[in-house]
Amino acid sequence: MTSPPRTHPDAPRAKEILCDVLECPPEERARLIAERCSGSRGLRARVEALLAALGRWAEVFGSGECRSGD
Amino acid sequence: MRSEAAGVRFWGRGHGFWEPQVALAIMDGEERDVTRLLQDGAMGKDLFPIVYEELRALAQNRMGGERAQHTLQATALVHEAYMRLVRDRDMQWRNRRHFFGAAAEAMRRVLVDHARRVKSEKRGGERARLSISVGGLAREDDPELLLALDDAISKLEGEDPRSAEVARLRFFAGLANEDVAKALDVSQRTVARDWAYARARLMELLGDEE
Repeated sequence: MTSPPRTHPDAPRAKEILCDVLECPPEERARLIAERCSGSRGLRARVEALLAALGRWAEVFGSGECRSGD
Repeated sequence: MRSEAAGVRFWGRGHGFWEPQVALAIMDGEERDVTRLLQDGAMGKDLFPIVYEELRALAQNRMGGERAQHTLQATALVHEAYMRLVRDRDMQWRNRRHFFGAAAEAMRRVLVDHARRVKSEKRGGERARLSISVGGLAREDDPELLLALDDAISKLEGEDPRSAEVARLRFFAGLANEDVAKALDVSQRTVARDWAYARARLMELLGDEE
């Protein structure tokens, strides 16, 4: 898999939506993504790609939280 | 491993773990008090070489003394450097943050140098004696991964500098979100969001090599 370009045009919005989605209960995430990305398939694909990457991070490296119990 | 993790916990809550000791760093034959440097706001070029040298020496010393295949915690080294260099254990965060900013970059350089050396030794058929792990990663003992991660963080800096800074402080200085927030003078929510985005983007930038 290749990385998106460094200057991905949707990057700031995709980050904002990703973070809003992560703050939502899991059962509301699909609805929120559809709502926030309405009319932009590219943006939706970008958000979903970031979510998938975050999931892979957890599989490979763990949750991302320090083991010292922070 | 357990005692190092405990050290981080103690550090995170403030007191008790630090032993009283005079902490002076010697640079170019001149004694310089790191606490005073921090309080005076004389950061960057003044502070960095002192912290770097301390971390490098600590890592080198441990590598000579620990058993083979032991893994050092980068976080523990950074906090040990803090204990050795800073006189005022209760220093305000507005000053401590400069220490950890410099320490994250210094630790990054120590780790990258170490990873390159380990890679080189492996190519030469020798077995690496000791590895250093970075904070919060479940995967350890992988110098190529560390170098790839460092490269990915540099790329992320070009896209989103604050997310890259959060990642550096988490990985290389071992700070929790609460302390990263203090260090960057932003809310914990902002740090949590930047950290989530950083992990997603770094995973993409690593190219799913795992």
